[in-house]
Amino acid sequence: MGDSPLRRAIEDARKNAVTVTVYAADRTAAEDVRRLFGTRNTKVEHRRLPSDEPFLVVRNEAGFVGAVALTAVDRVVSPSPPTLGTPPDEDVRALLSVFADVGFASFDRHQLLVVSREIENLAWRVGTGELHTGFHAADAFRAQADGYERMAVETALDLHVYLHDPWRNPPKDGLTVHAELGGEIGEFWFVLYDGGGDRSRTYALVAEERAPNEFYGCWTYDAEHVESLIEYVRATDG
Amino acid sequence: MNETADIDAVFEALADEYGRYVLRYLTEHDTVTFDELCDAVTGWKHAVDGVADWDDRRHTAIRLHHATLPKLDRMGFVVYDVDERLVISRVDDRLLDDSTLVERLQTAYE
Repeated sequence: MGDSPLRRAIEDARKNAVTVTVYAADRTAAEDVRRLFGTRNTKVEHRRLPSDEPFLVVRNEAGFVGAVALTAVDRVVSPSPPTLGTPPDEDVRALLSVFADVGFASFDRHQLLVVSREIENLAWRVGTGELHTGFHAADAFRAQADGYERMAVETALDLHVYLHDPWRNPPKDGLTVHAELGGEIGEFWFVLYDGGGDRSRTYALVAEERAPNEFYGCWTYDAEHVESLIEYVRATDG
Repeated sequence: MNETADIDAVFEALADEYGRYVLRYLTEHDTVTFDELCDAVTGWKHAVDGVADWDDRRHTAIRLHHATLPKLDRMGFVVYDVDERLVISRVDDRLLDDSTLVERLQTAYE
C-alpha cells in the first residue's frame, strides 16, 4: 500500500521545500521553530529584528507564501493541548496556515493533538458536515470518546472514527465507529473535515508515527485533496 | 548639514510608516536584499493582525520600490541599488552612530 492516498499526502508534502525565516530579537524563537517545523526540506533561518513582536516568513520556490506572528508557537509546543469543544484558536490557525501542504517532522503526540484539536474544534463550531478521524490505537480514541460523543449530540456533524483495534462501546447517533479495519488504517493518525458544504473550510491532517512518539506528516486546506482523502478512508470499511 | 536639519530629515523620513520599519530594520542590518527588506516589513506591519499574505507582500514591495526607498535614498539614509536589488544602510553615518535615536523617534510616533 505504498501509494495509498494517506501515505502519498505525506510523501508529496515532504517534497515541498520551504525556507522559514524567523525575524526576532534573539535566536531562541528560531530554535523553537526549527524543532517544530524543521525537516530536511525546511530550512529555518534567523534574522535579527529590533522588536518584541517576532514573526516568521515562509517562502517556497515560487517566492513569498506568508508571514505570521510567533505568538502561537508557544501554544503548539505547550504540553497541554486545548480541550475538545473549545473555540478554535485563531493564532494557532494562522501559524498552521502558512505551513499548509508542507511536510513536518518531529511533532510529538501533544503537538499533533494541538493540530487535531484545531480541526475538531473548527468542525464543532461549524456544526455540520463530515469529520473523519483515524486513531492509531483504541486507547487514543478512548481518551477522546466522551468528547466525540458530546460532539455527536450537540452538533449535526456526521462523525466517523476509524480503528484498527476492536471497539465495544454502544453505538451513538451521529457517531460511527469503524473498528477492526485491516490494511494501513492503524498506521496513520488523520483528521479530515469536509467543511460542512463550504469548500473554504476543508481541513485535513495526516500523520504517521515513524519512531515512538515521533510523528511525520502534513496538513492541507485544499478542498479537492481533502475530499479525495475522505473518499479513500470511507472506502476502507467497504 | 547641521544638527537641526538632520533631526528634521529624520522626522520627515519617520513620518512614513514604511520608512520607520525600514530604518529600524537597518539599525540591525547594514546591507539587505530588496526581497528580504520587503519580507521583513510585510511581516512586521501585518503579522501582528494574523497572516500576511502574498497581496500584502506585493503592496509592500510596490510601496518600498516606488516611494519609500527612493525618498530615503535622496535624503541620504540609504543607498537603494535598483540594479543589484540591494539596500545599503547609511543610517549610522547620518545619525552619528546613535541608532537608538530611530527607535526613540519611532516610539514617539506610535
